[in-house]
Amino acid sequence: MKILRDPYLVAISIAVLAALYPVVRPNDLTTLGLGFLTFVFIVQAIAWNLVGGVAGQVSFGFAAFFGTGAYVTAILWGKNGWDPVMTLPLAGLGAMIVALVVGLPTFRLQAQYFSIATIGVGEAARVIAINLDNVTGGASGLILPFNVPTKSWFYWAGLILATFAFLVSVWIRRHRFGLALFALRMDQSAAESLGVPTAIFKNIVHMIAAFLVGVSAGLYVTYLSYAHPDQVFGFDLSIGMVLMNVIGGIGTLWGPVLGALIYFPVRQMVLADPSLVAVNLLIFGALLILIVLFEPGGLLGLFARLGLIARSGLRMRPGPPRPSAPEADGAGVE
Amino acid sequence: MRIQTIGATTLASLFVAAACGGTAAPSSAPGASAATTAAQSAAASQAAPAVIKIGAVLPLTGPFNASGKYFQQGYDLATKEVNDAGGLDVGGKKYQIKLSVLDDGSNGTKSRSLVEQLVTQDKVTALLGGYDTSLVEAQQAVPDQYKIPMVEGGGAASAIFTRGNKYLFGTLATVDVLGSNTMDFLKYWIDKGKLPKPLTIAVVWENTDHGKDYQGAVEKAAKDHPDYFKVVLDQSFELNGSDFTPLLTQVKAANADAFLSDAHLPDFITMHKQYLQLGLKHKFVSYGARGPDQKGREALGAGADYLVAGVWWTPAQPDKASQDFTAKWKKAYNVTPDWFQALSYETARVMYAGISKAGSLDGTKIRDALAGIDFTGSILPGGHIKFDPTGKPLTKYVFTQNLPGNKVNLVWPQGVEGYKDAIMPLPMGQ
Repeated sequence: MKILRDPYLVAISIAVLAALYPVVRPNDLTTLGLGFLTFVFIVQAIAWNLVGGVAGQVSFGFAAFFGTGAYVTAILWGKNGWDPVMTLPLAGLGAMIVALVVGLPTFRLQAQYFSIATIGVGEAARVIAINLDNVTGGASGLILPFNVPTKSWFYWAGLILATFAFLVSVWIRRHRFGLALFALRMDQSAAESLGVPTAIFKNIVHMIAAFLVGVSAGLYVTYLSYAHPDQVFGFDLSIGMVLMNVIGGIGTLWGPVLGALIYFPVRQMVLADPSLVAVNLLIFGALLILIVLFEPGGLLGLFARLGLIARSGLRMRPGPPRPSAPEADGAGVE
Repeated sequence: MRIQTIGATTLASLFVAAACGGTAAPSSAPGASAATTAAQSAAASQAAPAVIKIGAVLPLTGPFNASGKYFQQGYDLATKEVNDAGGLDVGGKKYQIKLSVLDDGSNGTKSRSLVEQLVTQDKVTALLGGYDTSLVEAQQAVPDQYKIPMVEGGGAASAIFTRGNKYLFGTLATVDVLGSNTMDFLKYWIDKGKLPKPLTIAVVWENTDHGKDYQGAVEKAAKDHPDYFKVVLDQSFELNGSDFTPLLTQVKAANADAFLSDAHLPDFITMHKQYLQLGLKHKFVSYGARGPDQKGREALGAGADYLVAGVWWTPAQPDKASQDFTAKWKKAYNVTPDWFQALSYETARVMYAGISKAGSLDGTKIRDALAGIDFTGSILPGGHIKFDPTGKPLTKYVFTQNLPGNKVNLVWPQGVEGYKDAIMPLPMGQ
């Protein structure tokens, strides 16, 4: 079973299997649409995990990157007639530039102060976008062309992007760059004393994550044919990215994927049920409390714990598992 | 950062999002009405085997919840009437109508996704539109992408009809027309010597396509008639605001004769309350299409007296069709209807007439039937509803002026049935 320990092979195998769905059921538009949106959320979760999980820099401002990417595509496609696919690299690039502008001052702050600053950044981006009505459409948003590719196309495009994001994540974790990020997460001063240029590395990983989020946002607005500042810069997007990782397991390789696979359908189900809409934040809040109190390692931590129990004849492991180090890739919870 | 710290910060953020009524947190559950509709529809479908599925996505929660519920009631009443009369005649066969209403929480992205869900999952034959302009704009890609016709009565920006839709039709006369009608009305009263010439105007508008239409019309009139109008303040504001005091302070400083504002119902109520608190006075005040709304009058009391509004329908219209509708509505819901209820009712009736005219449940055939329809017997001013080639309605405005004692006069256009001269300048501005 060595193949199962290679995340590259596992990810590509799953992607190939998932890619068959539109071939088998091309008219199942509901599932194809849900599949595409799930892939967008997976990309967001993986991207956030690179910064929040691997490098330990918990950001609540990723909506700024999503909104920037969304509006780069929306403006180039809707106002300048570009092919939306051609706008996607620029959507990522736009988000990277914003990430650099945000990262340079905020990464000078430590831990909680960095997180608080990013809350302000995300909300400021939304307010600016609302008021730049000549560019963003203001409170009306931008209505984009209706002639979009098929649902199958979006499904495949989302799947390819999610697979790419996952492979980037695996590569980073196995590279010296990833090891340096793990080092700065554990002890920034120690990492610096060993020669890790922490400020540069934090900005680089921030920009890589922003690129992935920006491209996913470009695809997202192409799918919707609509971009609105409140929605693409919404604070709930930033919170969602944190929640997906908390649910799946922050800092792990598969945790963001698992978290997105659970968070997105549950969110859709809750928001579609009139009796649950009003309590949707209560549901996610309760879930968050339960995870933090009883299984800080998220679902992957829980699975690892259950695996240990099974292996050790119902003997509980003392203490919760910690986010894994990169050398554990392909083994255990990873 | 430890997981407990991340959790605590995220939890705090969730509370903040909830408190702010963020996009992830519509303010309240939509209540039982949607379920009731579904139950009624389910009962209807048991009684008659042939069923047409119609879908609508409305803001039953969030900032536009009041208007969304009015629209749902209008759609329900029109649907009930058809079903109670034995069903809708389509090609000689009677169909019961099953209306599915979903709540978008006043969120554009969700609205668009739910409309798509109605098409792909619920397989609806046709769609009734949402409310307001921004949410209709969010929905407007879906009808053409799936070739499922939509008639909407909640979006009034002219921009809606410039995007090449073939499957979207509106029943609200667009806001650029409201703006130009308002300026014609003012010109008339300037000519009568009741308002100064040139009239200095402070215009404020929500920064949506709705507001831009209104502002554009005011600006155009000022440019075309510089001897009549002089705009001394031209300022936009954010939709669904909570504090308009800084904006109104600018209005006060502008010292204009007339105050024109294009605002939706929640913003109208908030802004005019603050207008009164600041002690502002103008010879003429209008909030576009807001003024005679019952919700506004209840909230503002005598403060809403003498406001002039251009609306798509009012219970003050003396024609028999309007009076019959008002009586029917009062019997059904025990309240006096406003234009929201009338327009949603007419929107559903036009859609059902279009399906009947098409004699088919095919989306393209229904679309073609709607494109050529001349719906008579409408309660809207003029009694007809038809559409231009872009789907824009060829309907009209009627202007009202609030009077003390919750009364309303029809004050424009002059030929309208029940016309009375407006009280001009407004008593509070003298």
